[in-house]
Amino acid sequence: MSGFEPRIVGFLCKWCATAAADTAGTQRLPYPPNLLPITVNCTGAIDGAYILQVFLDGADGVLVGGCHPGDCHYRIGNLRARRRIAQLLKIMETLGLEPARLKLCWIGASEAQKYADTVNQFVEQIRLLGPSQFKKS
Amino acid sequence: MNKMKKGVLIVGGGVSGLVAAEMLKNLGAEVTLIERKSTLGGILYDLRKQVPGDNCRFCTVAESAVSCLRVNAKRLEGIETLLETELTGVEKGRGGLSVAFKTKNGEGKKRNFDAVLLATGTLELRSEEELRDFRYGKEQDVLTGLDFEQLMIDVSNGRKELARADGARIRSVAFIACVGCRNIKRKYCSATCCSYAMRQFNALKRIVPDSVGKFFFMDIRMQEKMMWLYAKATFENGLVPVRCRVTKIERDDKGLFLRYETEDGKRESDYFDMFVLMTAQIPDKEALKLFSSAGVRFDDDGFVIIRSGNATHAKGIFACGCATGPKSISDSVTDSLSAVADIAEELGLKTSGSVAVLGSCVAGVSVADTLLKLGVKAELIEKKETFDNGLNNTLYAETKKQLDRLRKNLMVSDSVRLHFGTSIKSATRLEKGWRIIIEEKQKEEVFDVSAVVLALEGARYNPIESSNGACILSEAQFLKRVNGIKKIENAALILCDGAFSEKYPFCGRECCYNALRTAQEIKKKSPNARIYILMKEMASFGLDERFEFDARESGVIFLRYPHNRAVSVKTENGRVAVRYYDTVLHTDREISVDIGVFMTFLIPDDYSNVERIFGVETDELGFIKESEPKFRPNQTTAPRVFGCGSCVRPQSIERMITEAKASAVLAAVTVARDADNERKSLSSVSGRRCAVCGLCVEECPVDARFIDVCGKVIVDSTLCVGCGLCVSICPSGASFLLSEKVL
Amino acid sequence: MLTLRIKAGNIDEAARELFKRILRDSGEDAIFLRKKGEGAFFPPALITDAETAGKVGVLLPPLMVDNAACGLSYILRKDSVEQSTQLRIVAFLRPCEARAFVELTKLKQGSLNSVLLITPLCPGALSLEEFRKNEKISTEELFSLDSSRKRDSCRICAYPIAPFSDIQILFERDGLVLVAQTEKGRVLLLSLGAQEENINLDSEKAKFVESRQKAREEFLVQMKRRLEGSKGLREFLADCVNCHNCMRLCPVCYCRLCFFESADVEADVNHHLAIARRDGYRSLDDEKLLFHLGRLEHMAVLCVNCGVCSDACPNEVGVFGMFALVSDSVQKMFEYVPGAVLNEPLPMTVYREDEFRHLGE
Repeated sequence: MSGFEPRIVGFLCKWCATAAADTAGTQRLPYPPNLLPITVNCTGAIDGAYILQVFLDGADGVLVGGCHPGDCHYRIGNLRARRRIAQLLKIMETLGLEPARLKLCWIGASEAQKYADTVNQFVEQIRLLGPSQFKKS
Repeated sequence: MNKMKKGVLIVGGGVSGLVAAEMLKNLGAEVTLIERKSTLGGILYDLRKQVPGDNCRFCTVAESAVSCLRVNAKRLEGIETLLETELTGVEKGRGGLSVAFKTKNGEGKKRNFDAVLLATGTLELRSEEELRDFRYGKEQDVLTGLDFEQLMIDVSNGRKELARADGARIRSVAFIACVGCRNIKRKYCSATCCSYAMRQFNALKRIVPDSVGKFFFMDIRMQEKMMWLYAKATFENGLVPVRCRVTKIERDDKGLFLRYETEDGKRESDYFDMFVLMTAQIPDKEALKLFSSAGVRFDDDGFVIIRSGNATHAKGIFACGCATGPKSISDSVTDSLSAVADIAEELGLKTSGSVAVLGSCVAGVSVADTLLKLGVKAELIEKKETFDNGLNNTLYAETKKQLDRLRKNLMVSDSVRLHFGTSIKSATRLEKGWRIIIEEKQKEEVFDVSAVVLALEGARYNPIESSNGACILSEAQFLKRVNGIKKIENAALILCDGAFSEKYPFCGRECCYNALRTAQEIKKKSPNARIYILMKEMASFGLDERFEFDARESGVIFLRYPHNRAVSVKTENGRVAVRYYDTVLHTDREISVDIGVFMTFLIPDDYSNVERIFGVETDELGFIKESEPKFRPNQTTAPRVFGCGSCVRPQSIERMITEAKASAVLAAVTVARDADNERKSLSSVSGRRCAVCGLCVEECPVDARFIDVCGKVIVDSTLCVGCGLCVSICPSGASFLLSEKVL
Repeated sequence: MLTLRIKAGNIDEAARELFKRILRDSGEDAIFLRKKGEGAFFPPALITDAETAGKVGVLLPPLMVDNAACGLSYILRKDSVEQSTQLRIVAFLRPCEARAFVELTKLKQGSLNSVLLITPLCPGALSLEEFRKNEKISTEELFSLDSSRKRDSCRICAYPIAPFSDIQILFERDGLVLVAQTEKGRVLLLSLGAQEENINLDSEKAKFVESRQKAREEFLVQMKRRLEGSKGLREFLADCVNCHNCMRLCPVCYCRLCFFESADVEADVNHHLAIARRDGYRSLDDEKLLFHLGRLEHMAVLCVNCGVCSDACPNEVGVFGMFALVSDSVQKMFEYVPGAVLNEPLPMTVYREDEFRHLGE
């Protein structure tokens, strides 16, 4: 596995999660560059099929970052996301598709350190898991 | 094009400033927001979460925000936001006000504005000199509310440990209300400390589950509708309430302790690991001082004095929010919207369209009046055969005159249609509004409106009166008689009967205020009268506290009775015997008076009709429920339906008028947004792909979608906020966002 | 319970008698049921004439290759918004078809306002291959046939009696026993002369479920072993040519245009090239993975395990097994039984404040 750099896709909601990521950036908190951020209006706007598409295209991990329950700009979007992700995790678990590669994380706007820590930990976790089984080489 | 627009300067980028900026922008003004700090939000920026949901919804204050306002303060679309900018001068100019300010890099500017709104808010008292009795500044473990808030943020981010100065674990915390106010120096109440302390204790409990907290207070003031239930839940969560007068914090070799005196005179002291002082809210005198030369008047405490509505004594200058007196966040929002109504009237900001108003009492008439001033037509619908007359007592003589004037205006105006003896049969949603079918005097009529404002009547709590009701009156009866009575020797005003109870777990929010003013009236006629005020809690919020001081100074006697022991009032031998359990003497007591008066409050009525017709909901208390209680306290859970007055919450008449203006502004802004051609729809539906399954309709958090009578999914583009929840729930992809491609 | 007994020489005769009587005596507008087709199949039909119903109606076709909920939804869909109650159609559906129809009504693809559901206790059915070996098989023989000869989904079916129905039909050697379950069902049966009787539906159900329970567990364990990881998935789907026939026949897949056939999932040539460069090759074959996994993500929670997806597959891929496995675990997680409770909201439209607390923290 030496030399394997995990490629993580991050679906970050444009309210809390992006704010935390921006602050982590301006505060120059160290975290690895393996995450490709995609801004969504709300984690509730993420269709599970998009996450599957990202995995099938070869992402080694997917991180979904949204506001804490109760803080969602649209009131209940993150609670919808939670159910959807729970379902997707269950499907991945049932089919042996390594649900550990998909992570849901609540990150408040002022939790820049938590964002950096989460990205750090997740990248390391994926590094240990190795490349996605959907990649053929 | 810009020259045609009226310019408004909003001084202060806190809650009320942001709300006013948003609404004035929508009504067509050119808005400039000036803020001394580099961040927006005022107190919201410092508070990580807000009651009662214990969540952060800062980003929902203004619809123009495009991302989290904590981090992207400049991202308010369409509103010129000047951060780190200070005022240096204010002058009356030709046709407006000339304002000079200095930006961060020292650059000076001068601009003309047609109106200025003072939304400077309040600051927390942090003076070590003033707080020396509490050892603030000397002890690391004595903090103000905001200090504690920041500590909680740091602890939950892992940046700090929750430990005492000497390193020991924090386990016991004292929360002390009313520090620096409700005293000779500041005869007012800061309005938010009680709720604030409770939320902070709950936050502490989440981080340190075995912590113990005590709350030291004189009266519990939870003026917002759901907050009494929140208080009870907080006590159940472990916060121990201690009613007392706090004197000082001292240190001995065992540690820090608090000295206090209970109501019955016992001197006590208690040790704690940490002390949180809920200190006074002080107006921002620095920011406001330039305005006195422009003619704005300030009271002894530095708050802006209002001439009427939200107008100051200087033409073109208005004030709202905590700048005019301490208030809660949702009260600031309402106040800010009410100021928008006044500014819009002053500047002639108008929109068009038509709005239905249900109910014609104080609230309904005020809504209709404000709508007309904003250029919006009103359809006033009233069940009764004539204007609903809830006001029939002398205390509100001024308000009654105002109301009569408003009614006369409505009756002669071309832009309002008065439907008396009318009920609503049904309402169906339109793409931008409601189609309403009414039955007026047995005839049916249909009309379309852009929005609906509910200003329905509530009901009044009626205490059980004795069979011989001659000398035991409800407040309305009493006030009718006050004029007829030449001299009153002694009177008892009984507050809180029925309130804070299982059935009505809330504060009436008008009774204390009314009682204190009634006491004033009685004293005017009979200066030697002996007046007793009996209460569970004295809830004279904010600047109303001054009435309490005046009352005490003029000799009114305040007697407290417990929450769970009702006061009994009986006529015996031509006198009125008031029996109650005295919490100071710890015994049952009887006082004998000429007149006993129950001060009553508003309770919810039956709103099943509007629930059925519009889909509004009622909350646990039975009042109409708001969709965003904190930042849009007059928006119901039904789309394009607003609510104010007694159907939404218990409140005083004066407050109802403010809420009515606020609701009218919200309705008018909806109309203005409808008319804005530049406003593009954020989401849409592909008709061919759509199977009309209704999932997106259910999913939409703002109720922007519905299925019309032809079986098509319609998107109300004014309401759609582009969240994308409809996109993810539609398995087919028939629902899509029109903004830049995100996925 | 209000019960109507119809006796005749055999079950099939009793069934034909029932169809005639409903159209003749109860004032219903039409019945929806399967009729004998020109070929092997039993197409669903809407019949208003009693004599015709008596001649061509079939209560329990021994063959199942499609789910009649699709047909019923097709007829009623346009009215769903209006939800007319003027009309009344008596629909005969198998339990899995009835469950699927109930789910479709929650998606406004049909309404129960104009429908009265009658569901038989279902012994299962044969696949086309088995059916061709004995096309004349009677309903009695179907009941006594060894389950190993029946379709996989029937062999392991957990709902031989529909959880929601207006009238259930039980079978005896010489006829039918109709039992009312709702007020609507009672009114119909009364018009046909029903009487109160003591009937225990649970014991009937238990007889069937027990025997299938073991088979079900074994089947799911087998499936889990086969579908382990992307390798297992690819092997399982080796013969799949991405024709999407399984989706077309699926009763709960109600979309007009399948997301996985729309432009939304297409990528440009550079994307394909990038993957080809990374892996050495880009097999277009891989699109079917997205289709199946995506369809599972969208619809597994509503899957009624009717098995028609496997019947529809031209290459006998056995898609049903994958859906049975995933739907079982997802529905258990949400504690949801599709088609069981009329007003129970779909799992993707609800949430609870205090669920899945371990996620996100």
